[in-house]
Amino acid sequence: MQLTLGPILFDWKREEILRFYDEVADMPVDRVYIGEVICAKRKGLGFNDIEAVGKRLMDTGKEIVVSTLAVVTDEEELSLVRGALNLPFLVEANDMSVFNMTLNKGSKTYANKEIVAGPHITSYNVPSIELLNKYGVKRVVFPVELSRDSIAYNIVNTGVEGEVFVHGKIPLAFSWRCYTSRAYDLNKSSCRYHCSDFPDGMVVKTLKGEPVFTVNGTSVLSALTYTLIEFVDDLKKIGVTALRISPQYRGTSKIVDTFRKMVKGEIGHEEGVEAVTSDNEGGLCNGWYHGIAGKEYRRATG
Amino acid sequence: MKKIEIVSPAGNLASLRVAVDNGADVVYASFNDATNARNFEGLNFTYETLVRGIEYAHIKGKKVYIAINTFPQMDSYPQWFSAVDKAVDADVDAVIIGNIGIMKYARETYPDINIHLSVQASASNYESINFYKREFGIKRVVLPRVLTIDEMKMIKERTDVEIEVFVLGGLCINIEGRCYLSSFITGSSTNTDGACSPSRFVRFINEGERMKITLNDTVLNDLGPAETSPYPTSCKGRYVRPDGRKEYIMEEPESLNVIELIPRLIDAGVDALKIEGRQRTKAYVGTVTSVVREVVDSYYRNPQDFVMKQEWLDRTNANFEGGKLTFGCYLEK
Repeated sequence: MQLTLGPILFDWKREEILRFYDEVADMPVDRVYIGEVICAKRKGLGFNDIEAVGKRLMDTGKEIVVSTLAVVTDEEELSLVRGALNLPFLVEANDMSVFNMTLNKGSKTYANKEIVAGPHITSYNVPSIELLNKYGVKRVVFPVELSRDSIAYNIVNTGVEGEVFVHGKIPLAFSWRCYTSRAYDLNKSSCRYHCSDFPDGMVVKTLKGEPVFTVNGTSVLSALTYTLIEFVDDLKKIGVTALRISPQYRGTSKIVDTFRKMVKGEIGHEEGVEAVTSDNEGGLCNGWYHGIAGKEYRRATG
Repeated sequence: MKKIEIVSPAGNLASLRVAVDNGADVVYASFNDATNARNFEGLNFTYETLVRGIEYAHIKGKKVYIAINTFPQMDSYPQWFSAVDKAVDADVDAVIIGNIGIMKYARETYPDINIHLSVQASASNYESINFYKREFGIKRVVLPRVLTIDEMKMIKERTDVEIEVFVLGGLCINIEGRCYLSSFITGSSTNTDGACSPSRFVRFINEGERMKITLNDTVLNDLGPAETSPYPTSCKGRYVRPDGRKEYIMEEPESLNVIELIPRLIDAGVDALKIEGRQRTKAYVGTVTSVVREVVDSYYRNPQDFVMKQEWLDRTNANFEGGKLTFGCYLEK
C-alpha cells in the first residue's frame, strides 16, 4: 500500500512551501503531488521551484507527480497546464484539457507521458476508466463522493490503480468567483492575496455555530476533516493501492506517520483515531465512504 | 450568418408545446429517471410522451434535444446506454451527454447522431472542447457558467465546435459537474442522482416571524419577515465568517439574467442561448422564451439601432418572484 501526499490546496508562501517539502523528504510517503490546483494567481512555487523540489524528493526515493489546475478558462491558465506537462515528472490531470495536449497526434512532446486522472476528473464508472486507460491513465484518484462499493467495483472491473483521498479537508466545489476576496468586498480581478492569511482556509460556520465549509479562494472545502484512518485495512481489501493525505499547515508529518503505522499494522484503531484527532479543530467526517452524506462520521465496527 | 438558436427547457409535454409556440428553436428535455441532472419527482418524459413531443416540434419545424448528463456508477450504466437508444429511436435532434463512457457508447453505436457536450462535463477551455471534438465528434458544447463573454469569444476563435451559453435562470455559482456541496450535506448529488439539494431534505421551520431553512439538518438560512429565499441550496446559504458576520459567503439568493447582453453574445459568435429551468412551470417557459425571441429578432432586424426595452426586463423579472438578478461573471470575474 502506497502513501501519497496530495498537492497543497492552500496559499502558502514560497518559503513555507519549500520548508514543508524539506520536511517531506523525511516523511514515509511513496509519492508526492506538487503544483497549484486552485488558482493561477497564487504565487507559491514557479516551475523552476517545482522541478528543483521534485528532483530533490526523487533522490529520496519518492515518485513525483505535477498536479494541474482544476478549472482552466483562459490562455494564462492553459499555459500553466502546458508548463506542468513540460516538467520531467508524471502529471495529474485535473481538467480534460490535459488529454488534448497529450493525445495531440501532431506533437510528440508528451508522447508516452503517464497521466494520473486526478480527483477532479469524473472517473465515476468502468466505461470512463477504460477510456482514460486508453489515454495513458494507469492510476485514478477517485472522485471524492464515491462510496466504498463504487470504488471496489471500479477496481475489480478495470484493474486500474486506485488512489483514494483518505485524510484532510475535502475539496467540495470550484468557482469563477473568489470567495476569499468576496469576504473582503473584493473580487478575483481585484484580489489582494487574502488567501495567504488563511493557511488552512477560512472556516465558516452555520448559523447554529457548527463548522461547515472552508473557504479557500475560488474553492470550497469541508470544515470537517475527512478521514479513513480506521479503514486502511478495508481499503486494502477492496484493492486500493494508494492512500492520499492532503497537506495541512501544521502536523502533516504526524498524520503521515499515523497512516504508515496503520498500514504496517503497528497501531490499532483507537490509537489511530486518537492521533489524527488530537490536533484537529473542526471534527471528523467520512460519510461518502459509507455511501451516505459526506458530512457524516462513522467509526469502524468490530 | 446563421441566426443564434434559442434553446428552451421543458419538464413535460405542455411546457414543450408552449416553448415551441413561443419561439423556441429547440426544446431540451430528458427522461424521468436518474440519467439527467433535473431528476425531480413528477418531472420529465417517458419514451411515449417524448415521441409525442418530438412529433409536435418537428411538425412545427423545431428541434428537440435530450439531456443524458449524469454519471452512472457500478453496474447501472446500461440504463444510460438505453436512454441513448431511446432518444435516438424517438428521433431526437441531438443528445446532450456529460460522461465520456456514455459518449463513447453513443458515438460508436450511432455514428451519425449529433452529440452535444453537457455543461456537466465542465469543459471551460478550447483544449478540453477540442479533445471531445476529436474523440467523440461533438457538434456543440454547453459552456459552464465560469466564463466572461471575452473568454467565450476566445474559445469560439479556437474551435469549430458550436458554443451554447446560459442566458436566463437558476445560477450554479460553482462549476457544474464538480460540485459536491449537495452530496456532502445530503448524500444526494447532481452528478450521481441528478438532483441538487433534493426537496426531501429541505425543512422550512417557522420560529415566530422568522423562518429557518435546513438541509438534512444543516442550517442554511434564517430569514427575517421581509426576506425571501429562492429554492434552498448550500451555495445560496448564509454562514458565519470568522469575524462573526453572517453572510452569503458564496452567492446571494439570485438568478442569472443576461438578456441585456444578448447582442454582445451574438457578436461574440455564440451559437445558441440556453434558458435554464426544466423544473419551472409552462407559464415561465412560455414567457421567458417569448422575451428572448423578441430580443434576438429585434437585434437581428436592426443591430445598429437596437434598444433594450424595459418591458422585456419587466416580463422576465416578474418570473423571478422579486429575487435578485445577476450577470454572473459574463462581464467580469
